[in-house]
Amino acid sequence: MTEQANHWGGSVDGIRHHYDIGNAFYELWLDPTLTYSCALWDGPDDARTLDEAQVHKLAYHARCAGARPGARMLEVGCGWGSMLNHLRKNDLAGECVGLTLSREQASYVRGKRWPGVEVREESWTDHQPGAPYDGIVSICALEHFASHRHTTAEKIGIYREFFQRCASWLPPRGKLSLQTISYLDFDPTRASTFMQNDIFPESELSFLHEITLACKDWFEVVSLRNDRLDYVRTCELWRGNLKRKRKEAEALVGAAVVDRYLDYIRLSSVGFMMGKGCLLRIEFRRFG
Amino acid sequence: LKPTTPLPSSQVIAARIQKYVAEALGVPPELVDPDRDVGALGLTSVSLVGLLGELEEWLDIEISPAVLYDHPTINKVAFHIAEAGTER
Repeated sequence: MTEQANHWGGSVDGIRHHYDIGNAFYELWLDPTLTYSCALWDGPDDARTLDEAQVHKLAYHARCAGARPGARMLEVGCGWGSMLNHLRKNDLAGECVGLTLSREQASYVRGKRWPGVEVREESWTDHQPGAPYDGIVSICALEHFASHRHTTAEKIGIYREFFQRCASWLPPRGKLSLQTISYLDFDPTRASTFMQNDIFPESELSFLHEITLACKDWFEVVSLRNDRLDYVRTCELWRGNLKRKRKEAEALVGAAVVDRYLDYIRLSSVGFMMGKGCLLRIEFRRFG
Repeated sequence: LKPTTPLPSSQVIAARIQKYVAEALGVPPELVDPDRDVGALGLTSVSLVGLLGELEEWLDIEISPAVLYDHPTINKVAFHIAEAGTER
């Protein structure tokens, strides 16, 4: 698949630029399940570790997506498979399908040979399920569906396509649990070129109103949380881990890349603290 | 992380932050109100990243941006850093 052939819904080149830097690098500073998205704490006094808060987040999304024994579940943007494995090992699904555009992630998940788990190296725009799903989860994938070159109308059109397809794969009242970073008090035309070009090329964040506008013909919003301070906490824990493992990380990817990651994680953390960006967790139910 | 040496007083820390903010905004330090919300001073995310980095290097401690959320003015954050000496 080429960038030309897949210019929306997630750029293969953009995804591989960030996620295919090497699994060993991410293993140094993420939690053991390699969950590369915001964890969930129940407030600032919640003493869960990063590992525990990531599992807490997975359980939250599984519940919001209606996971249950025997269910057939889809994850759009499955990363290194932590949600797929969570569903499988907790008997919250009979079959799980994960989609990713990252070759390294797909290969990692396949290598685990988890029973009942299928990973596909394809975009949701190309996905044609053999049978309907009972529930869908998508955690921090929406950020990659549009690029900063798309107009607002085009961006909403891409999100509409996503919601329409999800609705077509679910039964009436079927659930979708979405987690995404969105703009809050921010002018996207002033976005950092460092983030757009060096860290997440071919990606663009949504605004909440764009999501609600895009879903309105197929889904109702059941619940909505903005947990931006959870992302400050997650980023700072990742950054601390990476700083402690700096020597091993430099041996894998070089000092310049380590510095770039430390800078991007800190810049993200400050952006969430200032309210430039937020972390949305949205539970949707398909109209009956 | 625990500081390896005693930290300066909150007044000294506040003055250092005030000087940094003034330079970032291109105004004299006396025009930076230490009791105003840092978020309302007009700093960019990049400037705040720089401020945290400078404080961390100077004081040899780690400071989470969450500290600025919980203690949002220059005087409050300086007092907190001097008092706590360590941050999550």
